[in-house]
Amino acid sequence: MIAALLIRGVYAQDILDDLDELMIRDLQRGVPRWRARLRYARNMLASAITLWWDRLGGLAGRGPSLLDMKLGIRMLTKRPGLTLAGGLALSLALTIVVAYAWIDDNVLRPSLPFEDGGRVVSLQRWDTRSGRQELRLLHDLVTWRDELQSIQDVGAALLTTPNVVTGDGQGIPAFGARISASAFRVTGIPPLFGRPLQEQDEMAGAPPVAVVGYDLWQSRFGGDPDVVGQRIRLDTVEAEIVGIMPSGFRFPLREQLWLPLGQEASRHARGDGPPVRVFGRLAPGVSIEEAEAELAGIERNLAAASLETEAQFRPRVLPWAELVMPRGSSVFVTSTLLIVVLILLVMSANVGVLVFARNAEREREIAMRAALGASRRRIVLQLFVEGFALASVAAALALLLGHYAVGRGLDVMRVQWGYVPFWLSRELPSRTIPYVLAFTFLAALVASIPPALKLTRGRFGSAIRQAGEGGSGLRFGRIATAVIVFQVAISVALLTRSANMLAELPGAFGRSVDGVPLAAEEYLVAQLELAGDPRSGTADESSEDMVRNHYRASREALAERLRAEPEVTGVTFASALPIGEQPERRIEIEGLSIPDATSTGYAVRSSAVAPGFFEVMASPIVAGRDFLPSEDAAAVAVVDEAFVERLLPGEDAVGRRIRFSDVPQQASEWLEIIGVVRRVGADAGGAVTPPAIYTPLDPLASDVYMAVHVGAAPDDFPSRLRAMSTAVDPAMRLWDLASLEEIAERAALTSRSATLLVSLMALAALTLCLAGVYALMSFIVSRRIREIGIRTALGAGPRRIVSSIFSRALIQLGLGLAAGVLVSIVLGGGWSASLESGSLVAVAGMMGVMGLLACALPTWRALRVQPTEAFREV
Amino acid sequence: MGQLGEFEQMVLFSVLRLGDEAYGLAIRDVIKDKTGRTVSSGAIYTTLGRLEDRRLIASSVGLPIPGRAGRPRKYYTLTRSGAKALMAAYRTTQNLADGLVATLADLAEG
Repeated sequence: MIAALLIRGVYAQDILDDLDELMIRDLQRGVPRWRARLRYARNMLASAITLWWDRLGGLAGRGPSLLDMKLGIRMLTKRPGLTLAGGLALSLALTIVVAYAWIDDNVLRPSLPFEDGGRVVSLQRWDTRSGRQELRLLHDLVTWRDELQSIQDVGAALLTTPNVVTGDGQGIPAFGARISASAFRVTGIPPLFGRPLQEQDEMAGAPPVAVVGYDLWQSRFGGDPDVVGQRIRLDTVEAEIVGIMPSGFRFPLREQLWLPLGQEASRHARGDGPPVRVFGRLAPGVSIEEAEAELAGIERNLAAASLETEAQFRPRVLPWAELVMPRGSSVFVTSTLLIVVLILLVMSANVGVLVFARNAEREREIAMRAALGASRRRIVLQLFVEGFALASVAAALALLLGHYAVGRGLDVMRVQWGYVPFWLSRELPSRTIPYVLAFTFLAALVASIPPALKLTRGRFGSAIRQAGEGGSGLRFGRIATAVIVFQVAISVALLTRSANMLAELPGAFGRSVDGVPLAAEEYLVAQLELAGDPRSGTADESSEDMVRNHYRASREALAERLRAEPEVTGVTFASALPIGEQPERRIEIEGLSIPDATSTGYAVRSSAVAPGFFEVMASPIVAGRDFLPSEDAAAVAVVDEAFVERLLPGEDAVGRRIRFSDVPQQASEWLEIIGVVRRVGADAGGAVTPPAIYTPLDPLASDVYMAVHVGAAPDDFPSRLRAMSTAVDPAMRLWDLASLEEIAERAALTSRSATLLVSLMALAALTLCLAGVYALMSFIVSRRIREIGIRTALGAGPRRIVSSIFSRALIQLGLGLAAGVLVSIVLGGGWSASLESGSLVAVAGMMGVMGLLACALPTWRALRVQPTEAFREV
Repeated sequence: MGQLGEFEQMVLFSVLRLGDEAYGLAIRDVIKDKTGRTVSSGAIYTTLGRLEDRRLIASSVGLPIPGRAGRPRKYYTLTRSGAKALMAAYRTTQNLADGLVATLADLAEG
């Protein structure tokens, strides 16, 4: 479809047919589908560019010359304002194109980075009733492995995160998988050293073995090849390292450690067992649909044999890379591309307005060239080359920006998800260059051809005479005027948004903390995880309790050991860290009605904390008291000062009762407020963070953060802490062990990236809009030099001249400002919210001042027009 | 008649070499084979169009081909004036190179 869009003209059908024929020929010759597609795309884009270039060359009689190119580049340096404003706007639009090329390759049409990676598939059972995947597939795995013909090397992966304990006694959890040996055949990647897992490793009684990933090998074993054959401890069991996998191998998702799945599969009944992912490779010549049909057949036979009503489950076969994010439908892909094209067209049209206004000042030069024999086509081509030079500079910047954006996006993903699937590449795909080239060409066309055609329209033959008269019929069209109003409005809206986002940003920029300043760098925090996860589905209730009690004992033992260390001044536990990441809940307060009938209650941040938490976090209790150790199941709560200030101003909060209102009422009991604490946390606070409430931490809770107040601890304290934890319980995992400051930094990455993005867009909109206002003013002055001269000669004062000439620009500025303020108010949630933050007023004021400043230079020029000068023009 | 560009000469030689089988894709293959250059289909067709406008080649439509959704291919042959132009271009190169090939080879290798 894109091909048909880009390739036009008399040769279009021949070329499109050739492209199809080449693709078919490639596939018949056994060229991988992705490579055939790549060749198709390359040929298509090169053809499109040739055709358009040829058409332009035909327009001008011949293609652009070297001189045209030189002139184009010289114009960039001669008009730095236009280059800066237009270049920035175009480069942001082209950055979106670069990002789209990456998304297209990695998300919309992903493929694993192996030979024929697109043929590695995941086998799923879709529960049509719950709308979820059934992951307890170990029983099905045996059937599928034995019976399926269309999918080879069927295997399963049970994700696990054992503590890898090395010689120094430190246990660090690693992403690992108990996996079928066939995984290594499916991916076709040989180990760097040693051997992969093999079928005999899975036999009953086989000695325990492990294959280690490159990153883990580097970080924990110093990249020593002799590690093959050595033994490592994984939680409490020992295993022999038999192989090292090369860098980049992290199948199935992000793993760095592979252990045999063993006899796990044969132990479970259907629909029972731990959650696993089942994989395989499509047999040669088999399509996904054929494989899915065979899987459905097996499913039907099984259902018939066991007299089950299995219509509830639908088997599915999907490319492995779609495990995490489902592939976009073709409608989605096309509409995303259309949006990208639209953004680019709007930006280019904006730049076109600037180009027109600036080129209008060159009317005399253009007329001169026409008089010396240049055809209209020749001049249009020259102006296009200038536009193309501008767009090319923007494209180069866009490639850099796009590369940075992709890296940043993946960092955000790592923070949000905890990992990045291994097939998402930090590099830009090879198709980016042709994409960007084609779009650069498009941007140059839109930004330069319409203004060039307008400038050379109609009375072009007599242009030299008109230009000589110092005035002409050239007008700043209505569309151009509307574009400027639109730009001012968008700038106000975007700048307000980015100012608000900056104000809300957590205090990782070293801003002062509202309330008690928390020395985040003095706290070492980690997330503690249960060793045997009772949620895996195998454990019954009593064994779950056993695990939890064991976990509680380990946790307390670790805390005791830590408290005995001289550097440690406090150890505490909580369900969430005080960095503004606590879950937001809704509550109601007894005796107080909820002000907004549509909401379910007052918004608060809620977390559960252990007794002594506030003392360790240096937040004194200002009224009432802290939790007692005996109150771990009591219906009590502690609130912070912000809670009292905002929800119970001037009242005594202690003794009041609250309850969660975002759950059914019978499930929520009233909690008595027993204490008020100063604001806790490393977040910036600010006007927008909701008040906080604290409840007692269930001592059997499984997801718990530990915070250790260590002051200025020596650098090796974190490794000592790990060794202590491993000595207490080798299977207790410490995730993300770092200072609270570092964790807060990481948590702020997402909002900071979003702010950066909006700020950049606002900056582009601002420069475009100021350049637009400036261009408009310059244009008006240059058009009306004679009129200004005559008025001055007739005795008009400066004020009259300024007001008569600039009324139009001021009206546009005012209209734009009003529209921008209106949009901001609608987006910002009403008058009061928008005015409260103050940023809207500041931004609108600043835009007004900047707009007037943009008028200043042309005004000065207008006031300097001498009557003699104006008459000389005649 | 005008001068022939380098690429135009390549296309004309390919048409000549292919005889009755000179169509877009085949010309692209010959150029790739003989010169190692991969060129876009767009470049081939715009050049063929230009050469046809200058009456240096002539085209005819063949039988429908199954691989092209039943659409026929367009075949090209060299016209008399095309042959003359190509001959002239080749002669020019040859005359210029006359007696210099050995020296050129020495220079290039040395």
